[in-house]
Amino acid sequence: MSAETTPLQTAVLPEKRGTKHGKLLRVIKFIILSSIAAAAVSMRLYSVLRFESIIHEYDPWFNFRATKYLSEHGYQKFLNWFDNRSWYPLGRVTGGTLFPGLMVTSNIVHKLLLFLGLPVDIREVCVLFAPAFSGLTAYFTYLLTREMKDDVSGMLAALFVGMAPGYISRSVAGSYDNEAISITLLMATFYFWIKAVKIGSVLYASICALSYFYMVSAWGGYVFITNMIPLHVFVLLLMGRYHARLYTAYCTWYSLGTLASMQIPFVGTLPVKGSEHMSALGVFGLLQIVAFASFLKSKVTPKQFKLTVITSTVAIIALSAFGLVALTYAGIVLPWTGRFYSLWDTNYAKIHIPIIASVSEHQPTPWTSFFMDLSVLTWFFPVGVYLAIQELRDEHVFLIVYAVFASYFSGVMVRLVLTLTPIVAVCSAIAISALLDVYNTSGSEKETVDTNTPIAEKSDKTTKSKAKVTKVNDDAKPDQVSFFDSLGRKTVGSTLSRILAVSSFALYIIMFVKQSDYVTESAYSSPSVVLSSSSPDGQTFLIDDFREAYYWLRMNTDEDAKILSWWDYGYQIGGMADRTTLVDNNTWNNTHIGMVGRIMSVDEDRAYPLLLQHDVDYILIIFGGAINFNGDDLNKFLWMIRISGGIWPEEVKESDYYTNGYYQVGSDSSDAMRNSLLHKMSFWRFQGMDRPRRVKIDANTVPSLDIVEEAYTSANWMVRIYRVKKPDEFGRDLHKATAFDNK
Amino acid sequence: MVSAASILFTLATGITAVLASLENTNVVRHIDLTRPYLKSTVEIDVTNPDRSSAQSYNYILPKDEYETLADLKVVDSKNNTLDFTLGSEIEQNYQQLVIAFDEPLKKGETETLTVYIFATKSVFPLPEVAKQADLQEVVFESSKNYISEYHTTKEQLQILAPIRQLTDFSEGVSSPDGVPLKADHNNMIRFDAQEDVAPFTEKSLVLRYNFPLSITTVANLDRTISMDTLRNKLYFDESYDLINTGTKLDNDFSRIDYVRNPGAGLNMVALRRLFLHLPADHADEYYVDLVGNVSTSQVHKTMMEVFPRYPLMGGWHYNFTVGWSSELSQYLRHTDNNFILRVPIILGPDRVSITTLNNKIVLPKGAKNIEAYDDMGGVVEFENTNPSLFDLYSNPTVNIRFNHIVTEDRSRQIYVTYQYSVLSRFKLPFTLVTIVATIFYFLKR
Repeated sequence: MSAETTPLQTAVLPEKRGTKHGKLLRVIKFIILSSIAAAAVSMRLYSVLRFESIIHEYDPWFNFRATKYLSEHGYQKFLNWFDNRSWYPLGRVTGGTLFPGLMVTSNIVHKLLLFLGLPVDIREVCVLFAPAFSGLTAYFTYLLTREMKDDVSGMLAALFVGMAPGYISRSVAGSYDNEAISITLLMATFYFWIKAVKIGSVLYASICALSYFYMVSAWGGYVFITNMIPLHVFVLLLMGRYHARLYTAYCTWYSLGTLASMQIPFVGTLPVKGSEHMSALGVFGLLQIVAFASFLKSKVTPKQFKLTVITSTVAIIALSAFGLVALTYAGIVLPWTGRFYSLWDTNYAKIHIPIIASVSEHQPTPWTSFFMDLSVLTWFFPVGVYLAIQELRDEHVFLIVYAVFASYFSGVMVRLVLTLTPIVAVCSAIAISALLDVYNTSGSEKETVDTNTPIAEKSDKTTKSKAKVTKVNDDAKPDQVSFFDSLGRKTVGSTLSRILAVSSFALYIIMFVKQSDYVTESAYSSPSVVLSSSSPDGQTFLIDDFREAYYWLRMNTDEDAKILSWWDYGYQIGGMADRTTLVDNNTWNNTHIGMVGRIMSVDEDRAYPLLLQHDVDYILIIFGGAINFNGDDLNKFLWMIRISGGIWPEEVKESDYYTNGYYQVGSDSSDAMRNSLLHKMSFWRFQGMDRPRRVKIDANTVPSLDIVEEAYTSANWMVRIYRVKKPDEFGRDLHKATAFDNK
Repeated sequence: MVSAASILFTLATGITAVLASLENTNVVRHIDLTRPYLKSTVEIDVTNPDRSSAQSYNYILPKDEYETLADLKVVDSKNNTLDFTLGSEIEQNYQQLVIAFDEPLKKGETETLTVYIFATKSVFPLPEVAKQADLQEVVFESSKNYISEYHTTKEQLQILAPIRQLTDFSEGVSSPDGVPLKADHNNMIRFDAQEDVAPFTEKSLVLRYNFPLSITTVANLDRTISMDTLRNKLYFDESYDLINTGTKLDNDFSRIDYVRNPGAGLNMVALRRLFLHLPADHADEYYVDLVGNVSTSQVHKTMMEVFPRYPLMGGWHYNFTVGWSSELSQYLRHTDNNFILRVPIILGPDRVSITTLNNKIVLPKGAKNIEAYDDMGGVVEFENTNPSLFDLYSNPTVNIRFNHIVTEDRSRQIYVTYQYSVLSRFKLPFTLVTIVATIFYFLKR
């Protein structure tokens, strides 16, 4: 495929361009792509069907709240938003500490719909945002993969990325998170980058920069692009593939993209200061040197040139490394963040920053989740990478670099499987389309035309059966002799073997779609605010305790009430209960979170002054003892102890909370555990079996609770809200006062 | 039929002197305390001992009862509903209502009037705050005798109590612990008949008793009724703002106690569910609140059973929205271009008092000459709502507001008449088709 062809032209077989047949192919292709997009979108709507149109999980609740704020107060106020309803009493400079891309985009969509006269609630826009963008992702993946191989692989990649559970897990309806938009932008940026590198176009490079800017505005993961593109360039340079095209593309992208990205308040001067951005700067510098060297090369003799190159390379590398260290030491360049370190050493966070390790999505990926998230693509992926190595044009180098890095990172953190998914889709598509090239080429031109027509009619109504669809475009080009093109010529003679190969792979793809469908429905469509459960007679029912309790808070507490809860529930309380929280999911202040952990870990007498100091009115805890809910606060208690123990080691010692070296609750647990406020609040008035921990609880487990009183407990006991008692008006201590009241 | 709130401000001072000569020969007051609001029925035998014939009867309503008056209806012995107008205010304590007889009451004649009164906020909990194990005790205050500006020959008071045991605190400080009152097996308390009561006599009646039902008040109910003439549908959307105005729960709520002893103390009077009336034909019902769908609702034939997210203990709030759609033809009649829409003022739950009720009726675009009437004398406002669904201009809207409503009589209706031409009816599809056709015509070029 020649680099000069525009997308529209490559979309049609060159020899048939403009003919009736070519037009038909375009229509079919359009139908296929829109069917893929539609399938990708509709698959993500399971959560709405099974549950309802609701914002999912934790972070999306903040995004939703921020979007509402933006929609109510306008962009200027949004940028200057100081949120005094979170991180009480500190507050949060929200406008300057978030990526506004998501909120701004959904607001624009909302405004547009209103302008059209469609009275859609902003919540609906937010809920359906991720599915809509996944449709776009499929399209950009198609474009990107087409640049790598051909139309068939593009469409296969669109299908794979649209249906891969690894991406669906972050983009079902309701998961209104930054990732929802960023994967689309990631693919868009990479597509424009490949385009720019291929034709050395300033235009494409600036579109790439624009798309990069959009990405920066939307997700902290933009750093991935910031390192991916320089790495691509660096590898190309090492391979001796320097070219003016590369220079044009990279310099345009880097300068425009960096300047643009600095316009985002949260990013600010990071692109020139942050260590994560240094590689981009370094490659930019390197590229200048290489450009200069190649200029020199044309002017001087090879011997002189060699000498100059060696000495200057050594000098420059030494100088820049020294400079970097010196600047870091001087505090001008910021050192790497903890999350970055934990990418290289999975134990780093556990030892140094327990708060990062306490987040489940920051855990290393268990190997099973690769199979769950990528299904059959796990096997196609290496084949695709191998084929890319065989072809090895500039863009394939990018593919390989991306594949290697994303594979590594996805093994380190569960959430990074997300960035792996697109490249797996692309590589798998290349592998399968290569296979189809071999097994599905009929040889002569005439036959190809003949087989197309009936299949084209069929594919009008089918949406997913890619095996048929792929037959439409065996894009064999007789003029070129690249590896990919040579595949089409090595046709296999036997019809039987061809049918067997093609149909078995068609079957794999169908299985993949079914598997994704199943995984999406069963595993990724739960909003986690509402839980689904089944009664012994097999009927499913919903456990809606979270909303029950949040709504109770919203309706029955003072508007200024301060709610203390573990940080996981901060955003949800802000979003659903609309009350002030002490800590939330934006875990920027370790000490403050440690304080909450400390209050939960210490006994009543030590907790009470702390509660008063922080003006806490209510404490909200999650307790799964009654309905066997494992993700409750008692099971997260160790993290609270570790985080607060890291700050107040004299007061909270992890070892005190163990019983004979085991984590144990109930009457037999250690003194520190039994007297801790969380333990008391969890089991207060609870009798029976604590099912997640299999401990029998009776009335003697928590004989008294004096500094707080039960304000509300949800129907299944999952959420318990305690009111902090005011200091006794007669000056008694609360133990005595409570004892007196109970007489 | 004219009701309390739509009373015309006529000055009745001129005829007061003449009417003062009427006499209540026999009065039977019946107060029903089984509801969380006041229902009282007064049967009055009126005699005209005077020479001249009387045109009207002045009924006296205590001021607090008048201010929370939800409904008042007067029926005479022939079962005709009588009109009444607002009379003067007397000593800031009483409000006079002038009831016009169907036929003037001649000398020596006797007529029987029956006055039905509904008023909200008739009882208040005492103590206001209690523990979960305590019972809900409420206080009802009224007059022990019939307050009238006429001489009353004989009168009797009957009270239908919710439980058998009540305490009478009418004597005030002279018997601070109250006098126990026992109702008969029909839960009825009959006070001794009183004879020859002078005008404007008022003896206080203070009853304190355990009220075993939840006192649910809808602080505000917003109903939006909008029509879709193309789909022939009428959409109802009702947003309730609920409060349990009974005895407030002291801070400590024990879930275990609530589960184990559902019939004890304040647990008994917690609001667990509501049955909302629906019209006979209903479809697409929903039950949501500010954080999304509430999964705990069931639709029965003409009822919707909704469970609040949490039981409403005393003093707790909850709000929610329910909605459904009905066939428009059930509610809309027309001759040529003149339409009349008739919708019930209130459906909602049984035996609930509503402080403010706003009915918002969204009419189709292009409706003209809109007029609205109702049976309860609501305050009518006209406005236009925002354009929606590709609209270029907005829907005319009628807002009808009511204060103090009890959900007792569902026959009360709102009537909205308007003119709506065939052209307006097909304007939207016509415009859309034109736009799309035009665009594609030029695209083809």
